[in-house]
Amino acid sequence: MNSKKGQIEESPQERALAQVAHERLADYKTRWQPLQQRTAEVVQSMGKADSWERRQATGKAASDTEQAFGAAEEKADAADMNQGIGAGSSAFRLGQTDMAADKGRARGLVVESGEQAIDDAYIGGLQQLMAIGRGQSTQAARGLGASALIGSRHAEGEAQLAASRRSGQRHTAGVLVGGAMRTAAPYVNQGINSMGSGFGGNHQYFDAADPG
Amino acid sequence: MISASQALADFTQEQWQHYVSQFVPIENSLIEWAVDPNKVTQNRDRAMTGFNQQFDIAQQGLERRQRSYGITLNADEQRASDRNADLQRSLGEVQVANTSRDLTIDRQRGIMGAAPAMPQG
Repeated sequence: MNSKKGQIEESPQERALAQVAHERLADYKTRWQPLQQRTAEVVQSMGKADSWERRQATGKAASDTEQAFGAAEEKADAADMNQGIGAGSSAFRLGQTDMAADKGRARGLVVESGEQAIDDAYIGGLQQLMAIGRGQSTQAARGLGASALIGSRHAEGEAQLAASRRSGQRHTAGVLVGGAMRTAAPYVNQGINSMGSGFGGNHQYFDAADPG
Repeated sequence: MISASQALADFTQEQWQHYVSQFVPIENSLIEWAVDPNKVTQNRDRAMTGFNQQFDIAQQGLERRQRSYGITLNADEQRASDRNADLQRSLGEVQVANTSRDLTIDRQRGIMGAAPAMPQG
């Protein structure tokens, strides 16, 4: 902190800090803010009931299950027939209906797990964004601290200047008052002493050494 | 020319405003999700509806397969088939309802538990 013509000047470091902060913000706005906004939009829309991500996840879950069961059903039918259990038999028919019920249950569970996966991704995405935001709010708070620090150093410098100005004035005043009192003291003391012992006698009510 | 202190203060203000406009809505979405008293019921209903839709699709698939084999169930077979389908449907409904409820409550508690600490001055 330098002083020039009675004013506090910010140090080159402080000016550089402000400049870098300004440039970092501009860079963030150009490069990262659009990306962050896009991410936030994607995450927010993902959570909706009919979002593309939900349809994708549940659709894939359903088709994967269908595919897995489709192959299993073909094999089971073939195995039954190989064992002489034909389409006309109750065993074959009930085998098919049992498998269809299993498939229905599996489809329902797997599709719901797809929904849950999207819920997880949605909440996780929001939490990640929140963490970025928290970092930013912390940075803002730190920035407040930094600017307050520079401000307080500036104020401190101003206060010191003011204090030294004032102290200079007081010193001058003190010298003047002190000098005057030293000159006047014998007369003042004499006057006080003449008023009687009630005042303790010979007190100096003005101390030139203490201009305040 | 503004002072470094003022520039930093402006920067901080802008950063805070950006946080308020960009991230506070996100935090609000999360808070809303965590405290919504209907969320458990909504998700449970969604899970059961979704489950039943998938189960119905599988039953429709069965009908197509039976037609392709020229199969028509007799009354006893139909009853046995319905009984099994109803059992599987009920078990599945309960399973997805419970799972959905548990996971939703877990997520809500997780969000609440991860709430940020009070900012330090």
